[in-house]
Amino acid sequence: MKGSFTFRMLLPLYLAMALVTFLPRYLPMAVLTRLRLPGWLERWLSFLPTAILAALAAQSLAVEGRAVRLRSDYALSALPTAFVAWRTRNLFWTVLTGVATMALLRAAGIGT
Amino acid sequence: MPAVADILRGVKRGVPIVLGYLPLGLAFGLLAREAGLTPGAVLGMSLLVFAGSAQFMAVAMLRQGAGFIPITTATFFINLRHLLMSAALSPHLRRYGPGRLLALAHQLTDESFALHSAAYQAGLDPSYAEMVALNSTAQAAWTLSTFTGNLLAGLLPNPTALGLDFALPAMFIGLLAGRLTEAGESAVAALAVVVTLVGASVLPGNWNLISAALLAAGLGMLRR
Repeated sequence: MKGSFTFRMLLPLYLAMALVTFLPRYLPMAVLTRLRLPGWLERWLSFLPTAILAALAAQSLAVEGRAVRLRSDYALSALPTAFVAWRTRNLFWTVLTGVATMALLRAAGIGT
Repeated sequence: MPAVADILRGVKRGVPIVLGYLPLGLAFGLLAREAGLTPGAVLGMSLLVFAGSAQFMAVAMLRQGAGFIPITTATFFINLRHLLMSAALSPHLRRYGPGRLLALAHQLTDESFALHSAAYQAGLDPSYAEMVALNSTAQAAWTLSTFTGNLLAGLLPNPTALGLDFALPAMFIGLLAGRLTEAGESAVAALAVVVTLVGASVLPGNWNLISAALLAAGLGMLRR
């Protein structure tokens, strides 16, 4: 079984996957940058980053597959992370706080 | 000639993504090895497709003997969410021609989108070189960690002991905190969180993310 899928064998699949991945990433920016947009659409687009970011944050913290579950180690790490984010507005310190808290929890055997 | 300072800034801004991709990439490499993918096959997939969750699913499907059409279809639906991210960045990309947009689009991920949109929100205007440097740092981290995970599967210490699996959630929390400065944005974020969580168990695939973004941005638009 080992090594039974080589690059050459999978290349047609990769090209198909690359195409269907690339088109949704490319078409909106290719089209919308060339059009004059109505005010309501510009307004909608201006709120889209916050909406997407909040969705990604919720998904990465509390969704596993189709189950909503906030793991105790994630909840405990999220608190100091959010606090540092709010106080420092510095992304590096924020990420470092989250990772370090999680490492400490793991060392202490807390969480799953 | 792109300025060296811009490239360095892009690489540096990509560091949180590097930390987060490391454990994911190693895990993907291991899974791909168990499914029978050679190191070259892993390298090619990470370079050509560059889509974390779709790659995980494709490998799981290959392992179960799924064919070309089902894997391609599943990949399309998993990555459809990038449609919204591409649209959301578009107001800032009007100065670029189709060729430059092509390169930005190929490397558009949840994580690079989050950093780029946060920069624009903060009133920064990163150059094209800085954006591509950030994107390429992310893709290099993903590609190398998937390749390494595939080669050295099982020999490496488990990176979750270092807490690195929390790097991306922490990054999203940090970037979100920067946006919650006024009531309108906070209401949008709250609705997005609710729809994401409620939709997770009700909607198939990641339609919860797509619905959350569509509806919550709609709330922002309608609010006065």
